[in-house]
Amino acid sequence: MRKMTVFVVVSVFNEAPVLRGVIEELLSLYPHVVVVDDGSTDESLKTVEGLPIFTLRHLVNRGQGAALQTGIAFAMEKGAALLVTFDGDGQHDPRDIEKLLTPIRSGEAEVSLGSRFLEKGSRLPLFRRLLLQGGILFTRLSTGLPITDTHNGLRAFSREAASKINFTMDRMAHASELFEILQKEKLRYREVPVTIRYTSYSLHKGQSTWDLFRILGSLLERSFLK
Amino acid sequence: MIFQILVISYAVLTILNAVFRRQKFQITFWFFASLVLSHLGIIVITLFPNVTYPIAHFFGIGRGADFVLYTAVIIILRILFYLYSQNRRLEQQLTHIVRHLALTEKEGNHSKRS
Repeated sequence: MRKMTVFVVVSVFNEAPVLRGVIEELLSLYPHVVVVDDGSTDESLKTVEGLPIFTLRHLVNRGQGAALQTGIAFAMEKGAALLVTFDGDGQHDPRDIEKLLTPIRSGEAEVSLGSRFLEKGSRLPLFRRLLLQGGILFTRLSTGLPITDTHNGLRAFSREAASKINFTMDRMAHASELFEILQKEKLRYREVPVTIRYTSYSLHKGQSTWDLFRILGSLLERSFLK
Repeated sequence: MIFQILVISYAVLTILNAVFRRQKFQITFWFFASLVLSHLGIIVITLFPNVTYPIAHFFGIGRGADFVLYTAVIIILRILFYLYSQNRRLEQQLTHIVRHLALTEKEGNHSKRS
């Protein structure tokens, strides 16, 4: 079977303390890593200097959706056959990527979505879990898709599926926009269980409880703008 | 009486501000005209509140002040929606520019493996 080039797109906003470790771990498994610095005000990009990666920089912060779209466009231009989106704060495990790619390689799906809720035992704080479940319920009601994790940044796309992705929602709302694209473009998707590393850094830097309220707000905004 | 003095002073100052600083802030003619006319309207209504009564009565609203309030709320909400839409459009344009710069920055790190 022809080897398919995998590009991993990492959106980064002020991740200087952990970024190098995250990228080095990714590079040990996947050689084509695209880091999109979304207007960081710390030295995030400097920390990965010297690593064999592609780096792109947004001059001003435009949000995760915008950064991912930039990275996807770049990876497509470079001839990616498979694309993975990965968070830069270290909460994802690179070993989960292969699990996401398997259904795409086999032709079973065109898009793989990581889900932290497919396997029991995730160490998610109760309040956060309830908020996320609220978002999931809202997404299910508004899109009709039986999604179990709406805001998980670990995803994989076939080249053809990625060519149909065009996020117009720059910030958090891109996650719910993705489900609308899946539906509109009739893309076959699979949810795959993945592990989220709830380190003190990712809990602090990643999705704070306030961010989860913003996610719910973005879901409402997205449904209003549809 | 105090309320009337305050509102009229505010309206007069706003009109004068618009007249003298039109050039500096590059205000368009239509925005300038709307601003002056709406504030002249505020002055007239504040001085002669009864002028709104016939219109309010026509729409089945008891008091002229209520009519002014309802109309103001509708206009403000409309303006907010318009500004929100404009802001969304500008944000999307900004993202396109930022993305274009990121992707075409030929001398940047991304065109070669660092």
